[in-house]
This record gives sequence, C-alpha cells and structure tokens, in this order.
Amino acid sequence: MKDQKPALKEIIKKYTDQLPEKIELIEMNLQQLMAQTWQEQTWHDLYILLHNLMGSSGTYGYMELSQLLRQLEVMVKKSLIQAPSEQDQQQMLSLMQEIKAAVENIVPHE
Amino acid sequence: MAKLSKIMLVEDEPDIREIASLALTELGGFNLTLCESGQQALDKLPAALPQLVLLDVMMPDMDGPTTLQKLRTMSEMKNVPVIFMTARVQANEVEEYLKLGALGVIPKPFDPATLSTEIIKIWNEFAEKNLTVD
Repeated sequence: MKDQKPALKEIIKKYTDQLPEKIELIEMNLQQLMAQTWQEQTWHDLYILLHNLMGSSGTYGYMELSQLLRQLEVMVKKSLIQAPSEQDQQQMLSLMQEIKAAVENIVPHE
Repeated sequence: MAKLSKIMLVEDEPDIREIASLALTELGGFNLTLCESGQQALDKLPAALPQLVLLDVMMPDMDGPTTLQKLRTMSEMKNVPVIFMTARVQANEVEEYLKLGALGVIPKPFDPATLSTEIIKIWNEFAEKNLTVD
C-alpha cells in the first residue's frame, strides 16, 4: 500500500493481529468438514469464510496470502457440489499448511 | 455534472467495510454512507441520496445484483450510478454486471490507496459520456 495514514496503519495492525485466529478457524472448520458426512451447507459456510478472507487479506496488502486463500476457495467451491476426493482433501490440507506458513511470515509467533 | 462527493458503500464484510471507509473518507475526502447489507442500503437510500453507490456483489440474504434491481424500482434512485465491487471478475461476469446496469466494476482485492482514484476515473468517464443523472 503506497499511502498509509496513521488511521490506516492502525486498522491494518488490528487486522494483522487477528489473522492467526481467522486462519485457525478456517483450519478447524476444514478438518471438521473432512471428518464428517458431506453436507453442502457446511461447506458453503467455509466457502464464505474463505471468500471474505481472500478479499480482505489482499485489500490489507497481503497478496501472497490472498492468492493462497483463493486457491483453497476454488477447491472448497468444488466441494459445494460433491464430497471432495481423498486427493482433493490432501491438496486442501497441503494448501492449508502453505496458508499457515504465509501467516507465520506476516505475524511470527512471539 | 456535479463533482462527486456523496457515496454510499454497501459491504457485508466488516474488515473490508472498515478499510474502504477510511480510504474513501480520509484519502478520498468523500461524504460516505455505510451500509452492511442490501436491505440496509434500500432503507437508507431515500435519506442519503448518494450520487454513486458502491455495491458488493456477494452478500448474504440480498446480493448485489438483487439490491441493484430493487434500487432501480425506487423513483429517486432509478438512475443513480452503481459500481460493483467483487472478486468475480471473469469477462462473462463483468459483462453480466454491466448488462444489469452497473457503471463499472472494481475488482477485489482492491488497493485502498488507489480506490478513490479508480472511482473518480469511472465517474469521469461516465460524465464524459454526457449521461443524465437526476
């Protein structure tokens, strides 16, 4: 972001501080969905979470994270139609690890 | 056409609403009315009378295109220019938004630093086309 006024810096910091929690929620949802019988509505809720975070993370300047979330969003969107295959599940979990690593780079553990 | 000053932003996602709001007021200097749903926008429109509406496409309950259709049935808002903000910007999707009567589309994610400039650019192109806005 080229122009960061103090108020903008402040809300970017607030958003950044909340990122690990938001990613944790997505990971927890994903793992729960994979462990239970497929239902469109539950995958749809995860899809909305991902879609919103994909949009907001890019807008807050975290483009790499946004692109990874976009990839996961596309896979979750496929899962709205039918239960993901074993291969798709592995791919989603692998993407989830990449997303966590990206967040770790943004907000290192203290 | 009058200089653009009054904008309504309709966005359900709080983080995006917050940063867009700051970008439009602090960086853009606009007089902004914020709405978190399509229904809230319809409720606030008659009093707010914005010159331009920025409308999120994907919202629960009432999405952007439905909000636009309902807004067009309000006599005082039937010509108000609307810009969609969305991550769904494939050529066929953009074409669909324009067919619905949108003035333009701002892709998400957007850069808060340049959001106001993008809006003004679309507004100026609109003004140059000499379309009438009541």
